[in-house]
Amino acid sequence: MWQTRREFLKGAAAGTAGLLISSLDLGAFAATMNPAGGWSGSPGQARYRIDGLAKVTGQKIYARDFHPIDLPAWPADYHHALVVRTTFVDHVYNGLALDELPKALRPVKVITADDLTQDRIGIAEEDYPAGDYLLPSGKQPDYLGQAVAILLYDDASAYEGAKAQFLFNGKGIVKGSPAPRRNPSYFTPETSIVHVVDHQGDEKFSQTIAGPVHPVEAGDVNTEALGYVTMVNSTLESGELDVYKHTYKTAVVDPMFMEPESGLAWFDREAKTLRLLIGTQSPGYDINSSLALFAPKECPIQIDDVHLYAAYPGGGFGGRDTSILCLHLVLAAAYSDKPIRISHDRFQQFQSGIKRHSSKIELTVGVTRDDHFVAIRDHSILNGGGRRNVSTYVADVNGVTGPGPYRFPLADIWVRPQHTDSQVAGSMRGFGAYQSTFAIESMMDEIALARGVDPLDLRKTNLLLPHETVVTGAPKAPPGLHEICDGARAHPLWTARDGDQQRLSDGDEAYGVGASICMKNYGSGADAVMAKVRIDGEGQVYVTTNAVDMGQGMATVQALATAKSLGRNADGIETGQTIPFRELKLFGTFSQQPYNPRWTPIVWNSTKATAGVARWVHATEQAARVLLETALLPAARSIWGAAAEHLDMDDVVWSEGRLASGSFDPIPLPILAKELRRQNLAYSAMVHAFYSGRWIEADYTVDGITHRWPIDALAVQRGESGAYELIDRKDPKLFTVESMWEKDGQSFAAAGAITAVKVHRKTGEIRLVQGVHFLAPGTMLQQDLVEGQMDGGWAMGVGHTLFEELPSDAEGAANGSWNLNRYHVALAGDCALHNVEKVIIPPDAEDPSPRGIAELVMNPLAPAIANAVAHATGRRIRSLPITPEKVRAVWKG
Amino acid sequence: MAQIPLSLTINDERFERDSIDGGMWLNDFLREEVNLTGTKFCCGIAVCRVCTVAVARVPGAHLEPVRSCTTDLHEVNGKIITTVEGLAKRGQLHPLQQAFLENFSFQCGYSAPGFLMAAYCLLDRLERSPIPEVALDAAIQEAVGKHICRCTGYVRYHRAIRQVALETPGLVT
Repeated sequence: MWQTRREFLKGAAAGTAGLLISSLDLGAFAATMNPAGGWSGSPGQARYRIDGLAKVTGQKIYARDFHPIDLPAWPADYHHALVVRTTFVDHVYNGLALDELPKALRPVKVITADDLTQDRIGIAEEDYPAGDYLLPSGKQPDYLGQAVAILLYDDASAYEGAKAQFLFNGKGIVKGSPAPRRNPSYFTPETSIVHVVDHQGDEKFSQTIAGPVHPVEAGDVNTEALGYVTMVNSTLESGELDVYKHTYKTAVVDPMFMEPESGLAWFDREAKTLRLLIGTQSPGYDINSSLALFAPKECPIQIDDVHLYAAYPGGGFGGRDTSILCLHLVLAAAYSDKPIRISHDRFQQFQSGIKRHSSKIELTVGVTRDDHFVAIRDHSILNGGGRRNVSTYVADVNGVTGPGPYRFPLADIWVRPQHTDSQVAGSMRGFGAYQSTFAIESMMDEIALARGVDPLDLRKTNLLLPHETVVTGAPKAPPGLHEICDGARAHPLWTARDGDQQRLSDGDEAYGVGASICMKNYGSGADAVMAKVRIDGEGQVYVTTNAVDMGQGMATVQALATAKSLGRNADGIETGQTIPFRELKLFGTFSQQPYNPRWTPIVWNSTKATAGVARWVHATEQAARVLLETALLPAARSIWGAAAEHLDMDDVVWSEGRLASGSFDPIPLPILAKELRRQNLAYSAMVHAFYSGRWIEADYTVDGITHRWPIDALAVQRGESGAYELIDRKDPKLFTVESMWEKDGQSFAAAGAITAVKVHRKTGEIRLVQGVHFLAPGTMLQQDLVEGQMDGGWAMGVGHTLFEELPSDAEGAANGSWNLNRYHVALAGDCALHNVEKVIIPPDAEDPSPRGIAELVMNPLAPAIANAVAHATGRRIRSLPITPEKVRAVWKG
Repeated sequence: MAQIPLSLTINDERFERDSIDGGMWLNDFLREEVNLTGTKFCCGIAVCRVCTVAVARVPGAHLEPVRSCTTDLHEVNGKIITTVEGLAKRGQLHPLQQAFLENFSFQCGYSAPGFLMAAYCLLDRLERSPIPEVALDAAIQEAVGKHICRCTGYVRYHRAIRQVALETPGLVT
C-alpha cells in the first residue's frame, strides 16, 4: 500500500503555478426567480438544495449546455471534434482512410499521433491513462476503444454524418495485419495484506506493524510476510477447521451517468492560455495534466496558463475522475485556431468512458466447530483494462474490504489489478468494495447454509466491534455494525422468511429473502481539502471550495457548514475552484518538510462522493471558526465594551442571526460585518486541511493571539485591498509518510440490507418485492440528502445485480453499438419503490462524526439479492449480474 | 428530409423559419438552434426520456409527453411545445418544480426536466379525467415509470408528483 500511496502523492504534487479556475455565474437567473424563503432553512438546515433552483428551471449548468458563444471573450465560431476510436485489438491499426468517406463528411483538419510525436507532446499525470493519447499508425491498439485521431469539423451535420460512418458503418479505420492478443499482465503495486493475530489476541503481523508487503518479492519484511502467508494457508489446510472455498465474479459495468461527457476548449494564443469548460470531478488534476502535455522543453506549443470552468456534472459516480476527455479536448484545441467542442452521444460515451473493474474473487474461509472465523484467503483479480488509471487504488480498497466486517485472526489477501486490452476501468462508486462485498456476503450465506445456522447469527458471532482492528491492523471498525445486524435479525421480513416463503411462493414464482452487512472506507485515507469563507460588508456569507457537486449534495452541505460558527448558512457557494487557493502558496510533495509552513502532503484531491461530509465540511467549518474566533468575537467585545473584555468562545452563542452573550445586546451579523471592516479585522479566511486518521494541527497567530486549529495552512483577508495575508503555522503536528496510511488513516462506515425477491419458475426473472435498507451514517448534516443517497444506491445496486453487464472483449461497448436499448439500468418498477424501509442507526455516542456513505449504500444490494435468490431457488449464483439465463441454467423451477 | 417552412410555439413564443431541415430532431432544434438547453440529451434513442417535452396539437388540447431526441421538426410543425423553461410563470415556480425542490427529488438534476415535463402532462390528463386516489401511484408509474435516473432511485420524484396531484384541486376523486 505504501508504494501505491507514494505514487498517489507523486501525482498530487505536480506544480500548481499558472492555473486559473472560474465558476459559472448562476446568480443572475436565481435573482429573478427565488422562491419565497430561498433554499436556506434554519441554520444548519436546507429547505432544498442550494443548486436546486438552477436545476429545476433548466438553467445552463452542465457542460453540454454550453457553446463557446456562451463564454466571456471566447470566439463564437468553433470546431466540432470527433475522436475516432479503435474497435479492435487483434489487428494492427494502419491509419485512417478518409477517402472512404463521402467528400461532404471529410474533416477540415485531422490530428494524429504524428502531430503529437513531432511536437514532443508529454505525458499527463500518472492517474490518467498514460501515453499514446492517439495511437500511431502501424501499432496494435493497446486496448479497445483507444483513440486514433481527432477530426475537426466546421459543420455539425458533417460531423454527425462522419460519426455515423465511423461508429456504425466501420468505415475510415484501416485494419492491418492480424496480431496476437496481448497476454494479461498486472499493474503494480499489487495489494497484499497479511494479518496475523495469535491465540492471546496479540497482533503478530499486520500492515500497521510492518508497512506494505509483497510476499512474492524479495526483502526481509516480504520474507517474513511470506512466512505468515504460509502459516495462514497451513492453518486452512490443517484439517482442524471447516473450510469453505468459492469463487465469485462481477461484470464490467458502465457508470451510466446521465449526461454524456462534453466539453469546450480554446487555446487563446494571444494570452498563451488554454481555456476549458468541463463537467469534471477532478479539476485540479485536469489542469495539471493539461500543462504536463506541453511541458517538455522541446514542445513548441507554449501554454502559460490554464483556465477551467468547472460545470456541474450530470452525474459522475467516479466516471468523471481523470477522464481522458480532458486530454483530447486540450490536444484538439492546441492544434486548432478555433474553440473546440467535444460532445459525446451515448454510443460514444459507452465506447470511451471509464468502466467499473470486473472481478474474479477466490475466497477460502476456515471456521471453527463453534462457528468462529479463523482464517481467510482472498485472492482476487480486477480487470483494469488497457491503462493503469486508478486500478491499483481500487485493488487496495478491494483488499481492505475483502474480509467484510468480520474478525479474522489470520488473513492472506492478494488483489491483482490486471492489465488487459479491455476498455479502461477506473474510479466508480463502490471502488473495489462493491465487488468484495458481493463475494464475502455471498460466502457468509453459503457457510451458514452448509453449517445449518442462521446466516445473520453467523455474522453476529464474527462481527467486528466498534474500533476493533480491521484487516490492516488499524482500530477502525465502524460503529453501527451490531445495531444493523441486530435490527436485521429482529426484522419481520427476516424472522418470518421461511413462513413467508411457504405463503408467498406459488406455481409461478418462488419467494426468498436474503440479507447482507457491509462496511466500506470513505475518503482516500489521505484527504486534502480547501475552503474559503468570506463575510461581505452586508453580513452575507460566501463559501468557495475546490470540491465539485456531482449531485451528492456537496454544495448544499458546504453551505450549511458555516452555521455553527457564523450563525447562518452561506448565501452562496462557488464549487470546483482552485485558483483562489493559489494564495496559500502550498507546495505538495511526498517528502515531509517540517520547517516549511507551505508544505503539505497533498495540495488537492479529486472530489469523492464519500469525502464530502466527512472531510470537505471540515475545511469550511474551520474557515468559519477562524473568522468567529479572530474577528467576530473581538468585534463583538469591542461593541459590548469593557465589561465584555474577557468573553471567549465558550461565552457566546448565535441566536436568530445575532451573536449573543448573557445580558449583552445580541449583535446581528451585518453589524459585526461592518465592525470587521472598521477595525481592519479579517473578513475572509482560507484554509487547507489534511486528514489521515486525524487532521494535521498547528498554532496560528492572528492579531497577536495564538490559536491551535486542525488545519495546515491559513490565509486571511482584511482591509480594502483584499490582499491575502498568509499566517504561518507553528508547532505543527504533521505526518510522516509511514504514519499516514499504514497506521489508521482509513475510516469506515456500515450498512446492510434485507431483500425479498420472487423468482419466476419458467423464465428465471427476478422481481424485487420488498426491502430494508440499513445505514449507520453518524451525524446527518441533512437527512434528505442522506436518504437520497440511500434511494439512489438502492437502485444502482439493483441494476448492477440484475441487469448491468458489458462484455470485456470486442463485443463490448468499445464497438460503438451500445446504448440504453441493450444496457439496462434499474427503472422505478425494478426497485420495489413503495416497499423499501430505511433504518438509520443513530450516531454512536462516543463517535458521532458524520461518515461518508454515498458509495457504501449500494454495496449491500448485490449479495442481499443473491442470497434471496438462493433462498428462493435453493441454487447459488456466484456471478453478477444474476440474469434469468443464469437462473434457468441452474434451476428448473 | 426536405427543407420545410417551420412555425411552432415554444413556451408561449412563436418560432418561425422560412426553410429548415424537417428531419432535424426537436432536441437539436431546442438545444442548438434556439438555445433552450433545459431539455436534456442522454441516450438519443428514446429510451431514457430525459428529453421529454410537452406537446399540444392546438391551444387547449391535451398535452402529450414527447421524446424530443427522436421527434423531428416535421412532426411538431405547427404545434405548441412546453419545455422546462416554460413551466414557471411570472416568476412563480410551477407546483411541480416547487415540490421537486422541497422533496429533494433530484440530485445531479439531469433527469429532472424530463420528469417534470412528463409529470406536467400527467397533471393535464388528471385535470381532464380525474382518477381515484388509489389509482394515483399506478398513474404516476405509467407517466414516469420508464424515465431513467441514475442518482435518485426515483423515490422522491414519485413522492413529489403524488404530493402535487393530491394538493391540486380536482385531479383526484
